Amino acid sequence: MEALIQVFNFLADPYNLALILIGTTVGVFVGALPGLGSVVMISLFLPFVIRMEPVSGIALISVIYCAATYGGSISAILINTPGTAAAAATTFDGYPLAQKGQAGRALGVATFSSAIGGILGIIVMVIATPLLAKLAFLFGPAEYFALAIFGISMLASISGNSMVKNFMAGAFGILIGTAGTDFATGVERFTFGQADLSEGIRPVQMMIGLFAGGELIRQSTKLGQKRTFVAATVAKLPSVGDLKRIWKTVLRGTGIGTFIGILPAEGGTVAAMIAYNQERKISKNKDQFGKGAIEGVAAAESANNAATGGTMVPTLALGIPGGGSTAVILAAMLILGLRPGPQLFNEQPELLYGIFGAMLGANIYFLFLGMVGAKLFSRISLVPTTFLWPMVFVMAALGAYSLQQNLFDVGIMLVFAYSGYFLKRYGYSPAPIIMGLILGELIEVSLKQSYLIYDGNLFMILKQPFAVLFLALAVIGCSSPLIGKLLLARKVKGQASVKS
Amino acid sequence: MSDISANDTEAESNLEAESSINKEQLVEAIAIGAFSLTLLGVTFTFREVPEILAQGIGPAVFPRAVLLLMLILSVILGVRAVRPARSGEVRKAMKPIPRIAYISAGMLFLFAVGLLTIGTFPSLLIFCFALSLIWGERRYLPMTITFILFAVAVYVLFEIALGTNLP
Repeated sequence: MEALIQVFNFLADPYNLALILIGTTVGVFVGALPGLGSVVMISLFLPFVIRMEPVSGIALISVIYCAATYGGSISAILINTPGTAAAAATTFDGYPLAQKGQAGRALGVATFSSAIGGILGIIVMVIATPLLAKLAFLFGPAEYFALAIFGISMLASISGNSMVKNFMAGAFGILIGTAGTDFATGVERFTFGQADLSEGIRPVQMMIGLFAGGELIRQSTKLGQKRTFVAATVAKLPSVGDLKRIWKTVLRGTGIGTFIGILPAEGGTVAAMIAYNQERKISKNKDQFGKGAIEGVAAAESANNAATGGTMVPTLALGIPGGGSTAVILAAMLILGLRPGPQLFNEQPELLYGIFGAMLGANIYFLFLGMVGAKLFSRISLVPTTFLWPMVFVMAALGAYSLQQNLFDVGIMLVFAYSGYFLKRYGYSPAPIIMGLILGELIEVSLKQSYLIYDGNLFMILKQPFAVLFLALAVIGCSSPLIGKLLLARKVKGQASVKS
Repeated sequence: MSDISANDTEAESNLEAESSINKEQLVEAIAIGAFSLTLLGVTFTFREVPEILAQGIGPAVFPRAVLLLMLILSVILGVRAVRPARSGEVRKAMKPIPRIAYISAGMLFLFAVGLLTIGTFPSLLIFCFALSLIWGERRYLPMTITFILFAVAVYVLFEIALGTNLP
């Protein structure tokens, strides 16, 4: 109850309301632009956010994260191109609906499902985060070490990429985190005699480069792509008949989205795909899926928006990012001197309730914005790449420069821009790199502390029940894709033998 | 007869697929392996820790462990690149990187050089116009208006609002 009062107190402040309005508008705008997702935009905002008062800054990027997740559905429905990866499943039925002349209906269902999924996800977040944080009070270095290993292990199951490549990207991120002066001994590691590297590679420049710079080069290879735009009508609130058809779907999608979101490293993309497939399996209108079923849109949108609340739970309670965007949010918190975890709830409850309030406000506001302004935002998805991306890169370079007013930082950003392009081309996503960067520090610090606590006997970690639990989960996390493949192979073999 | 020859052709193509090596992945694995080995060598050049501070895990241990992990992963990648393709597995050759990507990457570098030599606003305007033109944009008036307004916005945001001394 106290939590809710704090949340509403945050929402009653006009300054906070203005932040929510600005952040949501920017977020929906960004989400509707294919290629410019929430991670890129949050990275671009970092140089400004870390100059702001911590509560306002973190609340602002959380709002952008929420709103961009919803905004992705607009271009998914109208141009068959998901504005964000999380909206990929929305294209399956959203675009066919738009082609049938029901763009307004599809946008309405997407907006409604997104808002309901998002709000319910935040309610779960408000309840689950303090509970998980209370549990984290029992954690010492051994448990944090095991927890970070569990977080890394979840990279195995990030969809769309090879498990080995995800781990490689994670390891690369961890390695980057070791550059600079070792905090315990003062020994410089991988600085190559560069004084500018003695404090390590700054995460802001790295993230801006990886996400924004790398994406610019990638966009240059997509210039010939033609997008077929389906003219938008004004989004329509779902009719009573549609509501009857989708309310159970929305609740199921919300449940799946929140649960998947809470798992470290998973996020809205995975949640939306699972929710969509699940709905297709159990729906009475199976044959309509892929041809314009509103249940398909509702499942994907409720799940990916519910996942935004879910991903914030491990991020805030344990300091383990729930996905790519929350990894960047977590990096911003660390730069601002905020260490997520149970202490944060005692020391700065206003920050947490600020984030909850801001995300709740964003969901309510984009429900209104989506209904009133979907037609306008649909035009945004047609902003030419040739205009947009040169400006995005200039903002990225100047943002990287502005923090220390040092051109060396622009160089670092540039190196990561090139790396970001090549890594993605060869199947290495930037998100595991950021996860590795953040979790690597936690792994090293907690491992060193455990070594001292247990007098050099690291096997003592295996005597801590929570640590054993997390390590067991890590083993399951690592092996789950392999087990999945084995089960699939057995099923295919079984079907083949039945046929023969 | 035609069935037999079709089957033969299929068997031949399977044989070809089975014996093929994923060259790109092999090069990738070798490059990562070499990178990891080089950095592993660098860890042996880290300054010695003074004895009073030499308690617990040393500063080189963790990076070495990570580099060893990367080395192992690169070996796995390499093995997967040379192992025979499974039946039904299609190994598509990667398309070469288009020239426009190299040009765009070069433009980013030139923009950074421009910041250092001619300053923020001339390099901003040249970069935006040039990249836009290279990418095929020919609507000169909207370009001019957009990029000049953008330069003004950058000035207001960075110089006035954030107090940054842009180069």
